[in-house]
Amino acid sequence: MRLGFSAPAAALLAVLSLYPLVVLVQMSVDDVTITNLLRYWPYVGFRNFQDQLTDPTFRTVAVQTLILVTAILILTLVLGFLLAMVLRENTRLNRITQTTMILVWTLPPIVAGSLWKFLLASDGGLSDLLVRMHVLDHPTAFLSQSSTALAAVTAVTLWSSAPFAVMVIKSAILDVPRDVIDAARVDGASTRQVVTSVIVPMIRPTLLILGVLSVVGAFKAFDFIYVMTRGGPGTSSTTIPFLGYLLAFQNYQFGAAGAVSVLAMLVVLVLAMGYIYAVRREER
Amino acid sequence: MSTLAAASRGAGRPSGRTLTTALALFVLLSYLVPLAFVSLAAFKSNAQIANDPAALIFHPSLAGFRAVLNRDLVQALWNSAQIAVGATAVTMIVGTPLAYVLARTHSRWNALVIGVLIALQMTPTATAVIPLFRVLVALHLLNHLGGVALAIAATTLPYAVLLLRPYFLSVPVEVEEAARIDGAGEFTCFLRVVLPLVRNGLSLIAVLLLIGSWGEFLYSVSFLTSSSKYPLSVLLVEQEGFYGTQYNNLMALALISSVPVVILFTVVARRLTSGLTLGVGK
Repeated sequence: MRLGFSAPAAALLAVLSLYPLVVLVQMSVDDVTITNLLRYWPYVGFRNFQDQLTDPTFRTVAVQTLILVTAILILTLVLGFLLAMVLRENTRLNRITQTTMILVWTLPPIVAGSLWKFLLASDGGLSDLLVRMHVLDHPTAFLSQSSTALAAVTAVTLWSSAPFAVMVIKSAILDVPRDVIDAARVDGASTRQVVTSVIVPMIRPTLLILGVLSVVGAFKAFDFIYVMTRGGPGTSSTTIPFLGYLLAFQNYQFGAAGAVSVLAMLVVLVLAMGYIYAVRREER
Repeated sequence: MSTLAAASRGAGRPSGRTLTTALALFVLLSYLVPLAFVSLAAFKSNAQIANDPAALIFHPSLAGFRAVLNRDLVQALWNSAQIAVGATAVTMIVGTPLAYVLARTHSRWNALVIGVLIALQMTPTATAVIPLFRVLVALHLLNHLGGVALAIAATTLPYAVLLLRPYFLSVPVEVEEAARIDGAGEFTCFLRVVLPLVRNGLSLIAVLLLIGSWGEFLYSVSFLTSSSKYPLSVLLVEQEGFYGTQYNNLMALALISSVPVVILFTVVARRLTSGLTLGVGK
């Protein structure tokens, strides 16, 4: 009976999630291009991996991925905590702000990305605003210059993922028992001390889990990159999973794409173990 | 929370409240202004946008909407609806029993299954799409809305199961035992007794899945080869290349694509916060 309940899910995952991962690993050690994608794949050992690991493009992309992920991790936790503290009281302004933020969070990434593509264009809103405020001296297309593309993608990803972080951190803050805070106040703790010595330590497990989730989210980001920059200019806003996609569906080098994607999956495995560790720690 | 408020007042900082209000207002504007800006842009002519993208006072024009309201849009709306409903139905039908089993059994396998689900949930779709292409070709599901829906379902299944499990954990075992004594079989008990008790969780997760699969883009653009099968997300990105910088059309299309999401959002807005935080560390 137990088996009957889990069999349909097991079948779906086996065919469309787990078996594809086996195909991916196979692809990474074979010579696969568009000409033989649907036919025989000759084995080439670890050549695809060697090619990628020595390729300067892959190395640049790996560094960019690290920058994007680190920036999102730090900014999500810091801004998320700050905004959660700001929005924690149940006032009308805070309710409206939170509802607006969550609405943005539910927008399809393709829609949010298109919206910012317009706002960040040289004739779009932000550039216009900054020129009027004399911050910029000429209109700038943030997404089409390699010095700002990655930062712009990072900022937009953060804009759309912050609402979730704020929501989660806020509910963790509200779960801190009042008497603990009261006790700290009675002992003469200042507001700052209440925050750093009571609230932050008590919600640390939530922050840890949220940290892993935001790293995963940043690492997975596809739609925003695709719709805003297609990973460009050049590869200046490409991440490792996105490079795998470009190699497969733009260059039709499926073997190379397989190798890059297997490397991406290794990162995912490390993150998954980190997440399980974080959850276990909280449950204890 | 009032204790914290008292704490800030007690610290002798009357400006604390003003600062908090100012910050909240700033955050609200940073979300509201971009939304308002593009919503207005959808009602401007392209010349007006080029002239002054930020103008608040202008003659509203429906040119953008007129340009995108055509047969392709209706077809794309229908395709998106089919993909979203199909993917959500498959995920819920297949995922709910698994979440139930994972909440009710305590074998060593559970931890392993949950671990695999977590890893699958973290797999980038950009990675999954590469081998999936090959698999869908083999299953003759390429260029089928059903193939896209199944691929989405496989991707969202781990997420749904992990979010649904806590709801089943909160159902007391005694309820089921009572039903068993009355002679209900395991399946009847699950269907008639347990599911009604977690219907709030089920509907919330279903709505989240609908919202997510409505906007799905990568699988659709990769697995659908004929443009008559494109959902809205793909149409939106395609139009961008077609119209170039005709932002009024693009923003009109973006607004239309968001309408179902906004409707679904208003249905669940109240329950969203508690339902999601249940999955994160609770």
